[in-house]
Amino acid sequence: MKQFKKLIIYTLCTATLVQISGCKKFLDRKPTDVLLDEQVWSDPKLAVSVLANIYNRLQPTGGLEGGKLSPTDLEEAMWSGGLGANNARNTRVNYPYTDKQLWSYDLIRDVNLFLENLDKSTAMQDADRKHLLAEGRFIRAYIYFLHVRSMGGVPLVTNTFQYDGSPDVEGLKVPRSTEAGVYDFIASELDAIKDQLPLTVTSKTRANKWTVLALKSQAMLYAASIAKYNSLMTDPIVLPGAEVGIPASRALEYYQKSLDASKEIIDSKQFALYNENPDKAQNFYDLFTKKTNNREVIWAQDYTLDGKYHDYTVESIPRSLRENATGSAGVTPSLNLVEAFDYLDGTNGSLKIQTPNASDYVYYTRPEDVFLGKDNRMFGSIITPGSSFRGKRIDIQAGVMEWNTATNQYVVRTSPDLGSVFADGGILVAADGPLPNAANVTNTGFYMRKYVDSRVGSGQSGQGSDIWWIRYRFGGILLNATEAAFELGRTAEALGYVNQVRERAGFPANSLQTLTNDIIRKEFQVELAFEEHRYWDLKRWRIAHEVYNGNRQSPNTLINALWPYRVVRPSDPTKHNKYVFVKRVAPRFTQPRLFRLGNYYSSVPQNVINANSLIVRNPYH
Amino acid sequence: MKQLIYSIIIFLAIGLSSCEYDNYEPPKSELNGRILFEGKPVGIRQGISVLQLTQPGFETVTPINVNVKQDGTFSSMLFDGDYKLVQVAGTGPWEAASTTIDVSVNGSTSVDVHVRPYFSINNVSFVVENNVVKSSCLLVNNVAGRQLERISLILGKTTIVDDPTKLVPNPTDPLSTKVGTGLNLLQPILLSQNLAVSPLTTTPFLYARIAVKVVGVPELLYSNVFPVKS
Repeated sequence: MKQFKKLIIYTLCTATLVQISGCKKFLDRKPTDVLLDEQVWSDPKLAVSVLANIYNRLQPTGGLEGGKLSPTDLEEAMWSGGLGANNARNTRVNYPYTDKQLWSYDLIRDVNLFLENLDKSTAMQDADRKHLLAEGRFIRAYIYFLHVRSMGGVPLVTNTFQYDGSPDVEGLKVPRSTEAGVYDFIASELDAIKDQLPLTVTSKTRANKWTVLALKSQAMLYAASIAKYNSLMTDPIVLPGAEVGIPASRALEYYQKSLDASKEIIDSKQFALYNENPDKAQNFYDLFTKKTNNREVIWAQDYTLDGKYHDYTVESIPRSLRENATGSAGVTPSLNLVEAFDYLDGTNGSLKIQTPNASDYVYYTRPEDVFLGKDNRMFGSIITPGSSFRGKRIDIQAGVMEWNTATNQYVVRTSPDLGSVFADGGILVAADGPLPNAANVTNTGFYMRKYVDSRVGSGQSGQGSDIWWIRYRFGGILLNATEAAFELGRTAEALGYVNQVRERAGFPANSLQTLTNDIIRKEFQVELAFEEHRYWDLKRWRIAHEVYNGNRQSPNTLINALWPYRVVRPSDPTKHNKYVFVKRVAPRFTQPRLFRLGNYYSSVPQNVINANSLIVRNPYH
Repeated sequence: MKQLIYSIIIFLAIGLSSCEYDNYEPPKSELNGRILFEGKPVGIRQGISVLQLTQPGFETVTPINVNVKQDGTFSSMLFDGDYKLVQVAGTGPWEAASTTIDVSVNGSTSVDVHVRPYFSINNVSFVVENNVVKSSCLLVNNVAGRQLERISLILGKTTIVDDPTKLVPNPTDPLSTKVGTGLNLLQPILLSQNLAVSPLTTTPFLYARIAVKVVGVPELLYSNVFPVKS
């Protein structure tokens, strides 16, 4: 027994000794899974990968990943997917003040760290470093633009802070800058780096001179319209320190800067409207899905099937085409948007579904005939009843209208089953719906086409789609130029820009002869639908609270649906087996949109206000 | 068996008594109040954020939101102490004011908040005749320069009636709403709604209210609620 005890003691001692002495080498090993600061900043390739990480974090509210439901914040689409949490998008009483809130100072710090470390780095060639520094500053300017459009003036932090442990943190507190100050910062940064970036379009996904100008065109237009239209409000939205609100006197200056930037892009001839397909509708769809030789795209967030893909198609593909056991029909376009697209002959886009005195329906031989002559961009953006996708016809039919000869009235026959058949052997409810309260079937009678992938396989959740998200494109720049030129009183010039955009959509040359704000705003709405523009446009024009005024009798507070029905009326061969359309409020959409004055600027997070006494709250919060 | 019962009782006793340590008393003092203009409560949309309470002297400045009912009254359960009752300027349908009322809560306390609504709805009366609900009121403009956008007789299926949740009769009754431009405010404004239309015929309960929209102000002003079918 004694011997056994000794043995244990010896073993323990040896083990301890071995551990103590062996530690040194073990802890001194270079880590194999972490890169150290000095390693990163001495290798241009590694520095670029830091930048890639930052590029990947630039989509807080829109895009094809986390923000892919953003069209359902507007009158352009609603949620027709699962009945879970996302259904709250159809039933919200008002937009919360935290909506579109952004306070990404972790991201800003990472960019500032990148700039500071790169500046100190000696291992890099001077030209490389200059290029990367300018690229970092472009990204920082873009991030500040994302902040200022959500929050108004935010603290301008252009260096990193190190906390040294002292109780005095006053030096770390930065107050909010004025809203104009942030826009001015963006403009001056962009002017400074414009010529340090590549002049030719080598990449559609990284910064170059033209992405800089595109951002400037957009940011200056936002600043200009806030300056002009905020002061025209009944109660202009301002804070005493001008953290929100831009003086009206600065509007012209900003419009001019925006127009100058747009014109530099237009005059460079580096870009052109995508016009490769004589089928104008297909052409407009291809603009978003074809990556090669696409001269319209200025800056995009790219995806690849080698590991970086998105599930936008899984979520929003038509029900009958879905390749996944769940999902589909998530974001479905509204009739409001469909009717915003004009007819190619220039007439108003509302659909002719009733006779002028509203006594009877208008009967169409094929459901697609009701859309004849509409703007081709509508067919390129939206799957309408009877159009085709992935080579398959998409049938959308809510039921059958059976004529009752006794009462001289139609009786609506429906079924809860997709693809059901009526007593006469014809279709009752089509394979793609619509159904009133089912998940993953369109509720509006339309499906999304823009950005939905036509490649088979892209609807599987394990695979997904590699369609890129276009942040800036030439069509948008032409519209920016239109608005700025019109605001500066140069209507003829403005008409030249907007008519190019319309001609590509199939309108005849010089289709517009006069311009008004409403015409320009409608053009923004239809050309840039689902591209995450309209929310911000309504905000900067200061009409969001009038468009979404919470009154369910206003035209665009509720999501309207268009439900096609087949007529069964053998007694009248001119109407039998024809199609009629019923306009109704989408059944799953219950609450009118209400945009309060406090939604023009999202609330500053409470923990930010608690931590920094210099931060002021946004108005109405 | 007995032992088991005893041990269960002992465990229960320990379990119940030990809770006390991490529990604290809930707030017990009630702060009541009304939003008033010329001594009369101002009707609003229930749930809008117009009042906040803050208690100075703490590390954080997170305000307590005060829920105001549609008849302009509110009540909050609070701990005793000194609070500041702040109007959130511009969110209500009245003249923006950033007045702060110091409230010292000690037991049940009540406080009145005075506002100046853009319009007041006076002499309100409702009556149901021949399946038509009729209302009469006198509008008074309290703030010079404010334009009336519309005045409507709205209906809801619960006692909480407001513009976003109102029922929309089909077809709409042209007499149920009047646009503000050119409206003579010296005369009583008469509105009516035919009750023989969908969906008013099928709802078991029906309540009416007058709503007034001021140009450029998202929140509406409301009268009291009148039970049509209850």
